[in-house]
Amino acid sequence: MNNDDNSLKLDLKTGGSTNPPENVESQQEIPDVSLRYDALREADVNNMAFPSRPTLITLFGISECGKTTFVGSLFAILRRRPHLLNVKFIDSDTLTGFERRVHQRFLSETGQSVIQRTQRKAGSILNVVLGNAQGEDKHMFVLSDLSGEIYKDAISEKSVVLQQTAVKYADKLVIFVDIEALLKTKTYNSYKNNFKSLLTRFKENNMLPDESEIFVAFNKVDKVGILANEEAQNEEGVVDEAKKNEFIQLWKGRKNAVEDSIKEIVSIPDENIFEICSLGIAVGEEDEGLIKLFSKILTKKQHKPLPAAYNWIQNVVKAD
Amino acid sequence: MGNNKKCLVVGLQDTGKSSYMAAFWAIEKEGKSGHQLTFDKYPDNTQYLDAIGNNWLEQEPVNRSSNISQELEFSLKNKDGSVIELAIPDFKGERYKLILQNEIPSEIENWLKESDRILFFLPPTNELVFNEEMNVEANQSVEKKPAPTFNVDEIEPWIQNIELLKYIFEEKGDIKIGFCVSKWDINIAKNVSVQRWIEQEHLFFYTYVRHHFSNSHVKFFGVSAQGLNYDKRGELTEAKVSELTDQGMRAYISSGTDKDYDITKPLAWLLED
Repeated sequence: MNNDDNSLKLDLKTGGSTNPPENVESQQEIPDVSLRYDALREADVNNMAFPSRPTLITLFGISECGKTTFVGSLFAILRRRPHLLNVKFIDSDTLTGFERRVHQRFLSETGQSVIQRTQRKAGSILNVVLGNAQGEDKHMFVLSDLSGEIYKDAISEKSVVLQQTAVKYADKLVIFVDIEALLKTKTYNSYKNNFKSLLTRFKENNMLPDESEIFVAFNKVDKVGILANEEAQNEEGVVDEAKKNEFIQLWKGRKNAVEDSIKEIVSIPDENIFEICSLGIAVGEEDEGLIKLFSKILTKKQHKPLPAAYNWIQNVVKAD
Repeated sequence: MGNNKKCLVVGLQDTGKSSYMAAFWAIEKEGKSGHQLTFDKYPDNTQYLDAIGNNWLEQEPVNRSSNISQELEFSLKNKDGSVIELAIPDFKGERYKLILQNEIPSEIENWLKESDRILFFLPPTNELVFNEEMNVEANQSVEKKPAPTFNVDEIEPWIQNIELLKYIFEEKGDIKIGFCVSKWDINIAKNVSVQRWIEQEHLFFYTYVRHHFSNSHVKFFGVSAQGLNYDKRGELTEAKVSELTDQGMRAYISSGTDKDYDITKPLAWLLED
């Protein structure tokens, strides 16, 4: 990394912003303890020092959809098994920010809630510097991991939507869908409805990215099997396969419905739709969808090919 | 700079910095060990060194209770006869942890500015892993229990080490660093070189080092300053260890599976120009 450029005044060392507050997020209080290499504020993104333009990956989704677990798992894979993604993990200016998310992940798994107020107000920007498998061709990826509470607020508040520049300028946007919420009859309709409202608000306000690669991550796919079994089990614990199948069909129908409603708002190729289990990092049994998604988002943005008219090399070859 | 050199000894808590200093003093103070470095003359004030040296000789954990910064000045004789005046502090690990809390102790900041070589102590432990990586349910947790509020102690110890190294790199760039993995007696039976152990068990740390520091500026050492684990002595009874201490065959440096009783080697390599 370029540590010689003193003109870059980003206070990466303290994790604090050097810019005056501009939006809700930067007006937020600092996290409970000020630590070095913590997550950064959005206002600091432009000051990150790297020779080439970083790729901005924005994680988009309402609270409880598993973004924090996703980030914690990504950190674990990058640290210990980066070969699965065919990369080398070389550096990060936000190691504490990652560890803070790992901590939140622990708390939520052990049933302890994280104070939402603190979550909302913490920095949301993380970064990693990766090389290829040989450690060459270094590139910085910047992750925007806003609190799900902010997206929840955005469902009903235009002003919150307008502040989410990390969504508008994302090179890669990962839209998280909470499978668990879709599977429960009580929450299905409201979740789907809110989800659509959220996307519509961003679309209406021109806050969805124009040239971004967009991905959809149906998260907690492990819950499908677990809940199907629970649903199909009688009192003796015997699973009724027909009932189980019925539950799985129901899930497929709901998934298609959500997929269709997303596609009405944004264009997403089918190969960018993933079913993942963001907890799936057991050594040797890593969740295939999760690893594929990590690999896709951690590649430099693919620029659209030039229109045929501009593709002079091919035209010349064809003409010959 | 002539033959006056400044070296900063870096390490978080329980990484064996003071134990190494204690063994160094106890073994080398008479200047007759025949090792690569040895004392040319006693420092003016050896109160601190004598206290920790006695702990080492009496086979007790080195008692590093004082918060006072121990800034030591050694007059060392090289094997080739040259004399090196070495200024080397022994700061508590807690002082280094403050850096991660954005409270950089001025004494460390000043020493780092003036030092051109670092002796960086690391623990012999593996990284903490997630339950999910081991396919363990959260309710059968093998992880440490997290505190409700995030603080510096919740940061995985090897990530803390990378953060400390990042701070050094930001301040000093590609400086010469000797990495000493302490209590190597725990790992010596693993039949792996120290460098390979770091690469296997601490891949991100290793990659960070390789991509930020020149190969010629980095060397890895295994250090067993105590020569044994006092709590798991096995055949190493007090009498046996006392005998080994006398024979100069207790504390050792290792590149992995070997034992080299010249514990000055990391410092000697570091002081080479």
